[in-house]
Amino acid sequence: MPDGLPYTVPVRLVPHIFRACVPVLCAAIMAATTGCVGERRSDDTVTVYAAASLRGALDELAAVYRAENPGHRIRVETAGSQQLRARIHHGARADIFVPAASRFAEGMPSYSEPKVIACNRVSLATPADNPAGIADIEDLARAGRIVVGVDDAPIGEFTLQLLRVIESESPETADAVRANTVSRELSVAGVLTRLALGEADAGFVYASDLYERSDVSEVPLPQRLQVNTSYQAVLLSEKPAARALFNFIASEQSRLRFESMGFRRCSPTET
Amino acid sequence: MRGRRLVMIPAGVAAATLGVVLLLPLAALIAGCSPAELIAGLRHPLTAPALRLSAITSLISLAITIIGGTPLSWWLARTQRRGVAVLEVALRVPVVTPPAVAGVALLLAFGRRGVLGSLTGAVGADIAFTATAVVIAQVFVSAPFYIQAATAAFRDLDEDQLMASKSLGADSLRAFYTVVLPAAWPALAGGAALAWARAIGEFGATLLFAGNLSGRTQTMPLAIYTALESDLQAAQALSVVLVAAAFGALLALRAVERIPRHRRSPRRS
Repeated sequence: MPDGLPYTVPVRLVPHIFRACVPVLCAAIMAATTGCVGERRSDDTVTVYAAASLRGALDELAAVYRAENPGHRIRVETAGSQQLRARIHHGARADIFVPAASRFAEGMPSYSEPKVIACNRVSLATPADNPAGIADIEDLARAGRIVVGVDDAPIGEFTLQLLRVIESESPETADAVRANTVSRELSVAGVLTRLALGEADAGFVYASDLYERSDVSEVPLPQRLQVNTSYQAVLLSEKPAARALFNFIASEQSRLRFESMGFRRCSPTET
Repeated sequence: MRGRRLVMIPAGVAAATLGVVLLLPLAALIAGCSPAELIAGLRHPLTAPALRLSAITSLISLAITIIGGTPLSWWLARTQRRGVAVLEVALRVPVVTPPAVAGVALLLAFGRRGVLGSLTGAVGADIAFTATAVVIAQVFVSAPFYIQAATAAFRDLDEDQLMASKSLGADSLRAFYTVVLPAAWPALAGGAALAWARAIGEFGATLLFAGNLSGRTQTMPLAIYTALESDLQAAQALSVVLVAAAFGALLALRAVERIPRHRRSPRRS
């Protein structure tokens, strides 16, 4: 090698280096993630992908399950159901998927009969101090800032459904809601944050989202405007630990727990 | 020689690995999007409003950054007081602030319940959820890039030339146009290009502070994030446009950076 170019990599080595670096890179990343983050892909870790509105309830159920079954690892990940669905389609490994509407799990191979685990309804909510003074649905015409979910998110879909009913009764109110919408959030958690921060005057969330919260309050809607929803769980893996957790979440005992945490009691036809 | 090669091979592997990590995602983004798909993606209903909003807000942000950032940088570069160094560092913090933190900070400052919120609310000018909020978020994250470049350029000025122009009777403004700008403009343009590219890519703070509404506050990065779950093709097409814009800005920056060098040493070219 000429002394003038001491740090040049020989040209013929370049393809070899490129070929070599792919496994090196993979190994490095795997070592980093397993070593530093401590994530283990062992069979006893069960990953649950759940709709954003299930966050608190599933954390509590997971705590109960862990107490009853020591040594089991459960990871609950929540986001908009459409986001979780996209992640699963792009190869994310979820063992159990619980979207806020059953159509989000359509086409996914379930290793067990899909089961409705909880039920909910759409609620109109305001910040606790209700700055715009919203007392019923007509008042939305003077809510300067309404926040809803994106149309692709379950909460956005259900809000559209509710708006269609409102439209048939009072087109002006429906128009005002559309005109006063200032943001479309990717999940109900985003809507709830806007309300809790007082940045929005009103928003559509789920009834269970308002359970035991002092920073947001519900505006009661008449029976005819009630939009009912339900959560159907699918089992996406054959792992015994996943099946055990699936059975626990879908059990009668868990359903009662959901009801005690602000979820609507499912009617017999829904389950 | 053998010893040298022993060092070179791991170094080459490490360098090539880093190169793959940096370039493969960009290559995949562009390779995975045929011209037909690009056109289809550009016709997505979210695309046109997002492109328009991004173009307008990022240019307004850039104007605010240059108009306010130039005198601010001049003052930072020319003031020898103790507190100024601290201020200069503080003005750089937004560069390393996580987007979510920036969004929360902006809400606490300009939101309805924020420091200025009660004030602006009193005159009926709510900022959050408007295009104004988009611009504020962009300025917050992008202006430091310009200020940093401009401050450095103003520090590097030739003191003798400045003194000479002043002794010949030029007032400060005239000295700025005749001496400072000709010497510093490549650095200023570079800082401006970086700031613009950062503004157009702004995502996290905008999402938190300005919300996400097509046509009003949904810029390109927000449209990409929103479309990602429903229409990957549109998200990809928009991403290609964004990458192309950033690449263009950096290319222009490089071209600008080369100009003075050629002028100073014409023999080299």
